[in-house]
Amino acid sequence: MKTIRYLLIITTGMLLIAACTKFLDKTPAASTTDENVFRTYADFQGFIDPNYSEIRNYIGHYSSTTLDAGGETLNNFISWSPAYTAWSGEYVHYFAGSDASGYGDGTSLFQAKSYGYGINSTNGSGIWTGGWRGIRVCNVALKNYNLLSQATDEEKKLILGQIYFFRAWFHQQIIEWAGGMPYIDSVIAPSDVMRFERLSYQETVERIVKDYDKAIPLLPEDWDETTVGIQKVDPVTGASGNTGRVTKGVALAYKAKALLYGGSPLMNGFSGHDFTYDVDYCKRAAAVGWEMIQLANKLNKAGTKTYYALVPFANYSDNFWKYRNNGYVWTTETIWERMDRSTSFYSFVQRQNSFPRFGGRYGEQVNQLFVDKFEMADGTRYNPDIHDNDNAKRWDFRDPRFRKAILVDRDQHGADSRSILNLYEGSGSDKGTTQQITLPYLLKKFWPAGANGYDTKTSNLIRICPLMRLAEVYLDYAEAVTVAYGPTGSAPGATLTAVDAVNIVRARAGMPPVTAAATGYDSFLDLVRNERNVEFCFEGQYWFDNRRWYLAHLPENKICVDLKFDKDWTTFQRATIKNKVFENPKHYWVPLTRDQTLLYPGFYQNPGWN
Amino acid sequence: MKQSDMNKIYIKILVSLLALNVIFQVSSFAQQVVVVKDESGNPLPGAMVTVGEGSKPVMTNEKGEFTLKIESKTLVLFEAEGYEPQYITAFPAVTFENVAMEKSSYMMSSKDKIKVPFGVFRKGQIPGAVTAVNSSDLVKYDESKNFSSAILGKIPGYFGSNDNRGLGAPLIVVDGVPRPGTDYNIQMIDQITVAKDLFTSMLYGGQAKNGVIYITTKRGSPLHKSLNFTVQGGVNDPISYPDFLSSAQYMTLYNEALANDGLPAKYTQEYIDGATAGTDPVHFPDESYYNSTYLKSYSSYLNVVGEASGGNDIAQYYVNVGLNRSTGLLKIGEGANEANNRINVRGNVDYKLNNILKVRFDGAAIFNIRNQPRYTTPGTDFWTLSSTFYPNIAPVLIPVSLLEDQALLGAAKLIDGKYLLGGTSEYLTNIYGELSRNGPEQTNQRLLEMNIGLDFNLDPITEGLSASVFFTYDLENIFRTDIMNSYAIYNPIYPAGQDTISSWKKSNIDAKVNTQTLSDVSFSRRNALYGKIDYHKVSGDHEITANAIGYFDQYTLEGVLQPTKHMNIGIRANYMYKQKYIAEITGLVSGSTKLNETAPWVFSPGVGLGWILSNESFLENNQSINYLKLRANMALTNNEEGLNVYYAGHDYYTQSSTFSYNHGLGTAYSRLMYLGNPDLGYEKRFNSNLGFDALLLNNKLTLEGSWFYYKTSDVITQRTNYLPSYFGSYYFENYGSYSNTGVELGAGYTESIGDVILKIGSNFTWAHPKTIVIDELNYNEDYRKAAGKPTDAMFGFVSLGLFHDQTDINNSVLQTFGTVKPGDIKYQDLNNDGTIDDLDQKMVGNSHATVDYSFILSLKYKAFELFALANGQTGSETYFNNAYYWVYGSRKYSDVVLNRWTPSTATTATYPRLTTLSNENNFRNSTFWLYNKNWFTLQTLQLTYTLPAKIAGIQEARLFARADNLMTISKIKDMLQLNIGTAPQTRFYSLGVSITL
Repeated sequence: MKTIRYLLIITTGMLLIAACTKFLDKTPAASTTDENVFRTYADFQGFIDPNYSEIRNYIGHYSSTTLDAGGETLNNFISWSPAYTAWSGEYVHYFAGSDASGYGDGTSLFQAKSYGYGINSTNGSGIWTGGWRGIRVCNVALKNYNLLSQATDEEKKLILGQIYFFRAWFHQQIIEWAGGMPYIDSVIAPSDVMRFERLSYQETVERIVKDYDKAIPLLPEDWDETTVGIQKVDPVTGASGNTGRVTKGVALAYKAKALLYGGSPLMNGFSGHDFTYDVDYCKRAAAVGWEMIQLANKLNKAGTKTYYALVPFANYSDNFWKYRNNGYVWTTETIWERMDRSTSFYSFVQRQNSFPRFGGRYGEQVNQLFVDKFEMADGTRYNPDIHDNDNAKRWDFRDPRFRKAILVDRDQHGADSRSILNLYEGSGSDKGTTQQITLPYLLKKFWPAGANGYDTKTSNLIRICPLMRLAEVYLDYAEAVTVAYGPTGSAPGATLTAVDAVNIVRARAGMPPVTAAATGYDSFLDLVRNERNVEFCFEGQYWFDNRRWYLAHLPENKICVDLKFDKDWTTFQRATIKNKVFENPKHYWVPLTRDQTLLYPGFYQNPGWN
Repeated sequence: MKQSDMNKIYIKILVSLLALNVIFQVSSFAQQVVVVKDESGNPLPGAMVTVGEGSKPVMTNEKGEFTLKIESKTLVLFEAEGYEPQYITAFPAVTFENVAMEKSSYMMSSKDKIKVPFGVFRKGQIPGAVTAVNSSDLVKYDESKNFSSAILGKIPGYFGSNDNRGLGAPLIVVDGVPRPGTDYNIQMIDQITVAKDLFTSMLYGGQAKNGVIYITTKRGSPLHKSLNFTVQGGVNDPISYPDFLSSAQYMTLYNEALANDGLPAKYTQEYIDGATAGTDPVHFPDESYYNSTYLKSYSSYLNVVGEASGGNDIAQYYVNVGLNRSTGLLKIGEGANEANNRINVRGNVDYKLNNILKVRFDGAAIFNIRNQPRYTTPGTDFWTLSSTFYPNIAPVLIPVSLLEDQALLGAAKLIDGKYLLGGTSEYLTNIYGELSRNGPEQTNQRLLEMNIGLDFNLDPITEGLSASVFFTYDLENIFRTDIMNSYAIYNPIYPAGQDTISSWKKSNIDAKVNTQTLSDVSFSRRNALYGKIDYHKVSGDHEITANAIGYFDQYTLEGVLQPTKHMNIGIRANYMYKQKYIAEITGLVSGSTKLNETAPWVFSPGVGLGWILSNESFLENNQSINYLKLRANMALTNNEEGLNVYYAGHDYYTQSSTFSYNHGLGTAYSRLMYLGNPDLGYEKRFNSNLGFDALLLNNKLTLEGSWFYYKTSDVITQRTNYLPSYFGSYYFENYGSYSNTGVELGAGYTESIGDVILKIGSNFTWAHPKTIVIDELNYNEDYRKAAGKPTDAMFGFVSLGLFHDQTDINNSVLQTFGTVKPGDIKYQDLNNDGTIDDLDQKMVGNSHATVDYSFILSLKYKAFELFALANGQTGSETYFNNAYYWVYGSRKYSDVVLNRWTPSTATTATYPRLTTLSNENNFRNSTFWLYNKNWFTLQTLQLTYTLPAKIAGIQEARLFARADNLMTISKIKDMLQLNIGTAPQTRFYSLGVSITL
């Protein structure tokens, strides 16, 4: 009997062990299956949404003021700012970044390898790293699109439209910095042979355009007009919870931009052609641009407003900063930007435009040659020989955008009497090593008055660098039309000439209209480019444009000029104080990390880097 | 009497005892003279005889006799040095006149029992590389604080006390279950078995890939009644404090650094002169912090342990109660109360219910309570603050007497009635305030451990068969309580040219709160269950020891959905023939929750062989080779320990309901974190060992040694260097391999000269780890590749010294880490491509020691015993690259910058030019910052005096004096012994007494 008893005990023990294989099963609450992620509209949208956090705000970037890498500004002291490295040609260290693996750094503006998911971070996660990750999200979403069962047709279209948009847009971001890339439009499996060769710039653009073409018919003009979007509109205040979502307008504006870039001299040259405009690309850019302009001016379904509108000049700064608790900078003019509401991480007074006496870290200053691009108020060009010494006209009788964007000597930037700038030569001036100021012009565009150590108006200040606003749609159109059809031409079927488009942007700023004659300029194209420089100053566009136009390596674009004058404004003297390192073709594209370029020959390094 | 026969008798005795127990007990007495004899029948003097529970042992006289006065059924224990202990129950079951003791054979006696994972072997049976330390032997001359100091320097094959053969930290197992064990006092521990090879450790599965330290706690033993108290008190004497520059020096050099960067001076000469003069320390502060205002000259240590154990053949118990307290070095406010207190209670009980079933029940509780000041920024403390606060920013204390208008004081809260706390609106933290005004903080850790074991004697089914089931449940709870007081700081304002303070800027407020704030609460639970069936049988020349085990453990941390789980089912069979030949096999099936859930099983085999040559006829009577065993084993095991995710065969998403971006339908998002790889398998580790154990030169010299080889392959890796960026995600795969080869040797020599017994020992370990394949960039330069080099290779630039001047820079290769100026570090262009960039790094050192060695000395003279232990390591390098050595930007200046580069010291400078910027060129790992790390330390010196005579009721009493970390020899001794940002290293001096009743 006893024997049986113990045998029973042992048998029971063994059975227990067998039962314990269940022990290895997954804790039910810890598992997320494809079903959970892709079944309903809300879940599927939750899978795509992280892509919105991969969008970068240049201002929020670690250690940088904004993407002033084109030579329009100078910082002579802070070696990690783009405005410093732009002049030394050292993309490797603070611009594209560097670490042990070559060109790629945890904190660099382009790579941002180590940021991981920047979902709640100020910084986003890099154009390169975040971009490719976003592209994978799109491809995974597309692959699982058939799992989306609990959604209306409208919801399905919205999902699909966003997927195609983001796939195109991330590629577009990457190639604007780094040149043509493989176009990844499927989910790459670990077992796949990953030997995609780099496409030429224009080949990549064609693939981008295809995805935009798929996205455009699927996306709404305004999410507030969709059944699913209207639920996100506050019935009392009318505040929309859809702000910042991809719309048809975003896709159209970026499609036009992709084509314009594809047809630009640098990109044309790097696609195996001459370093001149490709007229055909410009024609296509013009056509899409016109589509977008029509959409912008169309009345919404309720008939209450147009889908987009330029912000009145009095409210111009709304595009760049706002005092707002837990809100966003977003205007009727905004087409695309990161939805950034963080104000605390890099507090204003700590770094960014403000300089030591004002309680900041360092100020960034403007190259005199860039200041010269701002016309006189009457539409004539600024003439250094005459105007430099004209105290009435040098800074006051200028394009109104000048004083919106740039601070000069004797400006008071705040209520406190100490917030007056002293940018002359001599004792008592802020110019010099103590305040780390070299040039007599400070950036104002992203810096509201009073955001300084005296007035301390810094809380709840949100600043954004827009990525696409309506003004650019007009100027992209103007450039494309000028190349394709001439200043007075227009896209087929369009009622807007290049001259008209430029004048719309100028009129908002209160500048007199121009004509095809382009008085004071070498050509109308030259005028369009100047208009672009002025309108988008310090928004990062200058760096892209000067490269795109294949101008950045020219000697005249590699000079930094200072204006020296005395406290009483009696003599004004120019002096070249710095020359830029910009080798052709090396500095036209950012370097890629060695972990990429050493993998296989088809994924080659950009020229000039090793 | 043969072992097996003894066993039979023992079992029969137990069975009959049990039978008698149940029946009405009849007492009767007998008195007789018993002679204890040795194996040849000669009388054995000096044998100890214990009659019944609780009695004192009696010693046999020179004729081997003692007089037995005994009740029937009383258990009698016979013990003698060099002989196997015997338990014999008195009449009527057994009568005895001549008790024959069996001589212990070397490494095969009951005292040579070694507890290994899921089994108990005698040392001679084991084909593995195993070293055991018994704490009851150890504490007689070496009063270690815990298990890791107890094994330091004593294990051939170990680097320090926590690195098995250079592979890394072993698995710590306490009473059969992986647990930290760090809070156990040494008295609580019975045996520490260090299983170095995979073969011996492998029954714990992948967790044991770096070997096992197998700790067992003490249990009661029949008739061994004892009551022990140990008290040890001592002091910790700090070795050194950082040398930061004085205020005037700091300001002067900071100005110099600014000048180097082309920036204007920050500090005026008046300010620097004021600080130099030192006459007005409030106006011109110069705070150093490492002085007697803040610090005691030593901290104290107290350890009290009480133990009781005993029992009879039915029930045994062991109880351990301990109190351990060590104080801090701070002197002020809550700092003066800083202390770590540990209270522990443990009870281990064995109870035999009947001759089949025995129950084990252990319970332990450990409370760790740490008191310290509350610091405003959690994670900081006096040591971090004092190593970052500048000397010149603000005076810590401002005498209010300096105030012009005392009315301004208002209701300010004064320190000692005469001081205010200094600070500025930028520097709101005041160290004095932190220590004295910010409230106390208490961190509590509560550990509860419970073991329940059932042991079945299954002899009735098959002789030699037994089974047991063991269940453990541990609970850990950590929480912190703070009283969030706060203090105001004052920034004095001096009217121009005056020394009295006209007013101040006050920041923050003085506040005292009455509430405690609870934070950092965490709960964790660890449970484990194993069942095993054991078989042990000796029959003639054959001895078989076999186990089958089923093991599960689970660690659950509050708030983490997926617990860590392990599951192993295995068998081990050891066969010994004629006490000469050993063969052992082990097989293990393990399951995983981390890999593909459809096929989580894997099999790991192991085989071991042993040959005791000294038992062969050709060596049997050899006086110079008294014992010699050769052993060899190999094992191939599988682990997924390196994987920190679960079910990696599947795509893994994180989901969150707190998507704070404006998008998404309100709240939820999900993110693909990594890609599932259904082919992902276990990481494999193969290990083979060849070794020997020897006793030589007339039993005077013991030697043990092993050669070992490891190869780890299929390493679970995210191959970031292989994936193109456009892949856009990560996945785990099996890629990469590395090996580790080495030798370990241990030697011990004993010599008696008159009353002096001298024991010397030495251990030696050499290991050579090598990377075979690793995920790395496809470099063109061989010197840049990690593959083919040691796994601990340190890559860095080769420094050519400092640039003397601009000409030197112009004549040198272009360095691409920012603008280079004279006084910056010049690097060697290794690939001769005309630029210094990331490719110009090669292996410049090893981060891990190649050799670990130790010396042990024990000198016994009558009642005195002197014990010394020293150990050292060679073959590694280290970068001194923390904030103390890499002084740039806004870092506090230490004395390392004194010999910095300046134009006038261009040829003699040993430190780069100072800078207030980041200087990417200088502050990167290069041979400039590299030092050879060889060291040799006298770890322990202990003098023990054992009271010679037994005084009233005291079995044994020891007095000891001990010093730890006494002396270090190293070229970089000062740097090795200096802690920055943490409490200093100390030398430990103590006195103690241990009394056994």
